[in-house]
Amino acid sequence: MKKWIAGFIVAFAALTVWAQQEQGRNPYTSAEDVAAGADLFRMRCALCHGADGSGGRGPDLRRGEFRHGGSDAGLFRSIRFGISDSGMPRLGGGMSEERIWQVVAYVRSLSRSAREIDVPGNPVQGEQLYLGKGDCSRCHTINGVGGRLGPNLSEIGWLRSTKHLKSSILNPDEDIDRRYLSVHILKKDGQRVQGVPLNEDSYSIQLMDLQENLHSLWKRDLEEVRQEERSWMPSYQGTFSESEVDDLVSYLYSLRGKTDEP
Amino acid sequence: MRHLTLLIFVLSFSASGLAQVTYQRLLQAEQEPENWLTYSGTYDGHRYSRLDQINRGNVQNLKLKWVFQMRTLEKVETTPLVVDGIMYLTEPPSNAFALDPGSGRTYWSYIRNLPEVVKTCCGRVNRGMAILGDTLYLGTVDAHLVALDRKTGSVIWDVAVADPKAGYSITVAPLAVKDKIIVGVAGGEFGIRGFLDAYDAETGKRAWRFYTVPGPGEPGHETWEGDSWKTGGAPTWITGSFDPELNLIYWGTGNPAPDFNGEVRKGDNLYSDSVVVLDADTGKLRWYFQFTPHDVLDWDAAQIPVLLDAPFQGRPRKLLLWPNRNGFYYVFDRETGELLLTHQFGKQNWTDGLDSKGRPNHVLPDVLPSEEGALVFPGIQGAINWHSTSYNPLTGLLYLPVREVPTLNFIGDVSYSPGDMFLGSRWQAMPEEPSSAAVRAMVPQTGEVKWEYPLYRDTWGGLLSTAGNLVFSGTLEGQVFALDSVTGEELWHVNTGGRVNAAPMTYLFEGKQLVTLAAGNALFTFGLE
Repeated sequence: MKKWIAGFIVAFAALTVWAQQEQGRNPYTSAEDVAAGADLFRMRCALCHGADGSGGRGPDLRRGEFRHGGSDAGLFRSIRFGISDSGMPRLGGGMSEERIWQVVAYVRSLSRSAREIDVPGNPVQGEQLYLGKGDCSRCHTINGVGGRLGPNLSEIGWLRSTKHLKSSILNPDEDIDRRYLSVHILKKDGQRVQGVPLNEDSYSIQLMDLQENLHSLWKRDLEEVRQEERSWMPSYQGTFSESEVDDLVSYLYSLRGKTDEP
Repeated sequence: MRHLTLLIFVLSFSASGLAQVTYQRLLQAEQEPENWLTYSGTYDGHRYSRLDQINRGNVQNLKLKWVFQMRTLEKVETTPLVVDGIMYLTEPPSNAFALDPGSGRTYWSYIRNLPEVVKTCCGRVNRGMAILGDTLYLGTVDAHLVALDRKTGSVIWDVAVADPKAGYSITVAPLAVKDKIIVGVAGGEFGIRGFLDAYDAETGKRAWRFYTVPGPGEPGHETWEGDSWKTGGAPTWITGSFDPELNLIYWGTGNPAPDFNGEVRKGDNLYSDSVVVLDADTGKLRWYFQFTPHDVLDWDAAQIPVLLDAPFQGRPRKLLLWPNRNGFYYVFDRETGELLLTHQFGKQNWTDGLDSKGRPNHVLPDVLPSEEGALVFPGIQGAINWHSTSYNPLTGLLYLPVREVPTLNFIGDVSYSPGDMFLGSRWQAMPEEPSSAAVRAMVPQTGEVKWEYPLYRDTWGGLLSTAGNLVFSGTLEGQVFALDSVTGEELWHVNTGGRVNAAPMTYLFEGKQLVTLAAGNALFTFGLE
């Protein structure tokens, strides 16, 4: 009889998990699940999102807002399949569904315990600095306006934490998106091309030069290809005051892109 | 004067080095055959190139230059654009790339994050992009229109055209006309209400919408019984053509919904299976012609409108040529809409002929979908489907892929639920029935067939013809071939190993002519040694 009851409980629990998954809700939300999720998070996610989820190259997860679906199912999907063109890789390949749900539980626990994230600075003044003193639009695009040599900033508020934005302004070489390293090419005919890398294989290299021209070059025609761990972006240390940096960061943090609905 | 010319030359280049693709350039696309600026090559839908480096004398030396493998298992239906030495390409479902045509290597990619719910009847496919200025325009299967920077692929704007949950998607290559981007929708198998849209190229703001199923109070609404217009279909999933002198856009519309059960939508069901002719600035209807009134056989008028200025019965006319899915070929005066000619070009058993207005005399009862199944020629995939035809001014011939393949069609009950298939039963292939397919060369003014190149099976490949007196296409089995445009003789073929679902295009790279065609899940580029 006891075995029968135990069997029934196990079957009922399995059915509950299945039912919750079917509805896109997280079936693994116990304290143990959150703790297990935290362990996984530190191993797999902390490099970009910070050990405490406060962000880095990846967004601050404590704010509880998610660009690509904030439901349990949406978070599960982003972790399992990644988000193209955002830097978020797929992590689901070697992880069971249960483990992914545990990470979802931990991510949820971060936003539940978070205070309002304090972003000092004035975004309106930040925008003035972006367009004026900083001349940032020479190399960066926001909603289709600006240069192409640096990353598109239209959705940068979703993609980065405030501390990473600040560090990128003051010390751009510290953590460079590898798509924006500096490439220096010397052709056999003596011509030089400098720019940012786009693509490369054994025989050819593609890049955008500093005048925003696209080049595809056969390596047989090149004397030297040098890629430096440096960004073309200058440091703004000394250019901006501390409060101006805060203003600029608060402006960049406010950039969340836009899609017009029908 | 020389200085002025130089100044104009310098000004015509944007600050970043590539010449902008102005509307003026699109108007004169035929005069820059080194590029391929719009889906059909030119606004008139000819899919013809003046290039003749590759010709009847040397086409047998054509060799593979490179292959671009796509990360997809979907059908590849795309026609790339080539502009000033860069190729712009779509990959299914809704991704875009810029490539170096010399090496096939990518400059950038745009990989779209799609929502979980996307509804397509026949694959998550895409047929290509439009370009205007420095911007590319991409329709997506989640029914958005996206403007991409041509140098980086980054999004300039992204607008939702319709709701994908209700069965709308975009697979068509948009058309850039003046300062607007014209885009249609797919979803005829989901009971959408079809429309054609125009968007401001710069801002993404909608400029006009033409509903292909008229609403209450609009002419044509009376051709729908009850509320059936609300789910009437008539999508707009193949790129239309444009006559700049008349300022008219010509666009084909798809089947009425549900596909096979006409009982729930009695009437002619305008403007399904029609060509609609719209003012390019306002989207107002100028004239229309419905090829298959009250269609129950899924015969979308999803063909490329071919615009031709040529003598007809001794008088110069502005013609519109239209081989239709229902097996008949139609010629119109494209200014007035006057029907000049109808001619059966493919095997058919559904009607005893067309009257002087192009309407079937009788639809024969034995071919209508039934509970037991009714055999019809052409089958539901038509005597021609969406594959591009090609008109060659040197031979004066229209080349078309023809399919003479029947299907067995059934009728069934149907009820509408948003986002679910809305078919009214089913069809099946009849492999035991004799069938055939061919590339045919036709005199546009009469329908007379000058030659025929038989194909082993029904074809899904479009055609390209060139001033090298060649016609290029590919087969369901993956053979890509070149024919003599005068005689139809096969001059070259190669096995790509993957089904051809697209049409070829051609351009120059570093002064040398290349031919590019999608086959299987890849893009193949051929050139001379």
